[in-house]
Amino acid sequence: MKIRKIEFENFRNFKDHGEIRCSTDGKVTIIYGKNGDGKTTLHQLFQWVFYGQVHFNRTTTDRLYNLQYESDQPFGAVFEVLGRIDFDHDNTQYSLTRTNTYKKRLDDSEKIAEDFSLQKMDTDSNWKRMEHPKDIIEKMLPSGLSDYFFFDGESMIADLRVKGKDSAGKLRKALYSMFDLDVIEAAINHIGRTDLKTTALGKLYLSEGSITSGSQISAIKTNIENAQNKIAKYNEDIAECGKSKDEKQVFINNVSEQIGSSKSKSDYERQRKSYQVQRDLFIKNAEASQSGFGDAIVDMFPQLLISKAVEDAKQKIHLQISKNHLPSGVNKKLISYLLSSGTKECICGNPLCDEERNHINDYLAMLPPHSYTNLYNDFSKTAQAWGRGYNLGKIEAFIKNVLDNNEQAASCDVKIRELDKEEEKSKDIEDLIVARRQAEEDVKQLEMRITTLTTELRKFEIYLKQQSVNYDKLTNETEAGEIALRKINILEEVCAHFSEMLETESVTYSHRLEENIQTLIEQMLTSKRNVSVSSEFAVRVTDSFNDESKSEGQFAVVSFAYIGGILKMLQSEENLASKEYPLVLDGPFSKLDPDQRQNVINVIPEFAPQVILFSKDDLQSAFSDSCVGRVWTITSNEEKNVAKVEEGYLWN
Amino acid sequence: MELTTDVMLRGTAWSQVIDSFSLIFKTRTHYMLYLLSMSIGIMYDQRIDKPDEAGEEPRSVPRNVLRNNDNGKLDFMFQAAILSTETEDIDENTRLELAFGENIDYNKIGLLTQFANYGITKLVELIGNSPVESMENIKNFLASTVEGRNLDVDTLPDDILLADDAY
Repeated sequence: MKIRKIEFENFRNFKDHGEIRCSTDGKVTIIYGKNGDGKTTLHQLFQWVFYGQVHFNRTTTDRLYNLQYESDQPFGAVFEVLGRIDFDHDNTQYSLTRTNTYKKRLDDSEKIAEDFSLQKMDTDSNWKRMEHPKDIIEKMLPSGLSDYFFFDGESMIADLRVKGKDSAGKLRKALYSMFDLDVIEAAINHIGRTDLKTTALGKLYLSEGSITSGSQISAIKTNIENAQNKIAKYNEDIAECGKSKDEKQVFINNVSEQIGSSKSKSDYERQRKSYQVQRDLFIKNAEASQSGFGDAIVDMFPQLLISKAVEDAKQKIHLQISKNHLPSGVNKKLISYLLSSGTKECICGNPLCDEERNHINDYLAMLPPHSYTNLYNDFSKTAQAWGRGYNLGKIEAFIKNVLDNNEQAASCDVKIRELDKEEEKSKDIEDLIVARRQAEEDVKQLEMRITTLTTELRKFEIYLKQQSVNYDKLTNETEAGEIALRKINILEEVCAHFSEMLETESVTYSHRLEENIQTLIEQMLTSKRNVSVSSEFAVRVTDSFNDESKSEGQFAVVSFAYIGGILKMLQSEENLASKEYPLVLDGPFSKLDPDQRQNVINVIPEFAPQVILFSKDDLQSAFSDSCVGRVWTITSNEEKNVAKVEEGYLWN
Repeated sequence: MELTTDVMLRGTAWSQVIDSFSLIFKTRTHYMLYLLSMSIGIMYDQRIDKPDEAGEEPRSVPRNVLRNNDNGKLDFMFQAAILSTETEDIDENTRLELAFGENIDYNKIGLLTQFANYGITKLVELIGNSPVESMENIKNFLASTVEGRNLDVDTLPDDILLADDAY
């Protein structure tokens, strides 16, 4: 795919109709814009037109229109927001259009319709509207990889920095879909496990007991099915509660932001936040004291508790000492002399036979290091070293600390509620405060519900295991059971084969990605770093001390290398080599020092067959003339709420 | 003591105590509770070979955790236990041999785990409605034990009231 032109009208800052024609000959298209001019807005236009996704903040996401345009409209007027992308794909021209239709109301405008159409130019140069545009676009430009084709450097840095695991999960999903590994994964999931009744293995397992196998087996089979249903239901409920809890949490954060942004309320919000911080701190202290209590208990009590047993033991050893006294005058030297092979006679003159020698040998056991005196001393020493120091005060202090901190946390809660009550009187944010308080209560309720559900789930898991053991016992003796068991074994082998295959492929691709990123890092980063990519596609960039810390600039370079590595891998894949993917890049160039910036710019044209670049920094001199294609500049009014795009490099 | 396998903590009591006390014995929950329960079992000189189970997934103390934190404690516990216990019918010489000899055939960790299986049933009784309540219960139990009051009869069953008429 190569993008020829983007068009927009009444889209956020861009009130009037505008268009940007892009180079399709391998040269880089650059769109310049200062902070606030609308670079990110235009960058997001791509994802909006292709996938209907926008990542503005909450209020603006609902209102894609230009505010001045909207305010000029009379009440009840109907107007549109338009985005269009013309592109070539497999030597055919396409035009993709997305429009949102709004109706003006008293305070804002309501979205009343949305249209998404894809037109294809036929051989007679006529545009023909296509059915199922979403599916066609998905095939041309998979949405799973959209974050990599339409690359927002700033968010990618934040993503890599904060949500490494999430990024890896997202990338893994996208790459699995590109390389058809998702089919293998689906096969593994389809085969499933014997305890999951909707999977192939689960069904086979239950087929071990047919109706004819007897009422006992049938009864247990019903129990197993019931337990499986319950487990599935509880898992579903837990996931649902978790989702609601996350949504409420986001809502609370958003409302807090809104309340905080109201100037008159900033004091209130600050005070509330301060109480919340204090409360969290008290809770943390209480938890620390709780765990300190546990440490102190285990440090102090075991030895005190066994002190009676230790005394008994000591007595026993002591008793043994008195029983095992060496006769006076017998010492190690004498025993050694008598036991040496040359000694034939005792010192009293009697001959030394085997019986005498065995007797003398017993004396050896009474000597150090095996003597009981020695054992007694060692044991007493350990007992003394290990256990002493009963300190009830110390233990009680921990409990008091927990109580105090819990009380303080509760008192902060009371203060927060009082503060809320006070603020509820002020009309403008009353609803928000009430809504936030309600949401906070809801989160608490949801947490409790999750705990209850988890306990119930656990019970049914145990029950299922018990029933399965009985079921196995009964069905193992039946013919149907044996047949099903053989089938299960075969299917498990198939599953193991697929799992191995998936693992091997994942490792291959992750190594390839690792090599790509490493090469790019070496080309772009001025400091030496090692790259490792796990089979789950989590990327780590470390120095020789395995330290992952990076400066802002280094993070920016890593994000460029990350995206470059992924796109290079797509290009090098045989099955995908015929496909072309564009790169629309909102890059964090200002974070790079001059050397690094030049290094990055040198390699960017190689990332993809078509590169469209948004920049707030002057890159004209950094690119060689042969690399730069069409250049556009965004200009805005003073308030930066109405912008337009003109062709050329228009900065002085 | 040679530790070649993880110590398995089987039964309802272990599950209940571990789940309830994990926020109190946070550093190394399973190991800490194992050690504490073992010492309670040795103190009461009571063992349980097969704890009551309701199909719970067994918990475990990994052998590396035991090795890293042991510092001779388990050997000492075993010596004190085997020399003093009346639950094992063996003569004094065998006891001394097991405590200090090189005999590796005897399942020393097994014996300690049986003591711990008893000890954990005492800890179950201390589970409160909140962590603080549990902490208070643990403290009271251990303090009264160490101060000597707990070694006698702790509580009597209600049935004893029925026997009152006989006296």
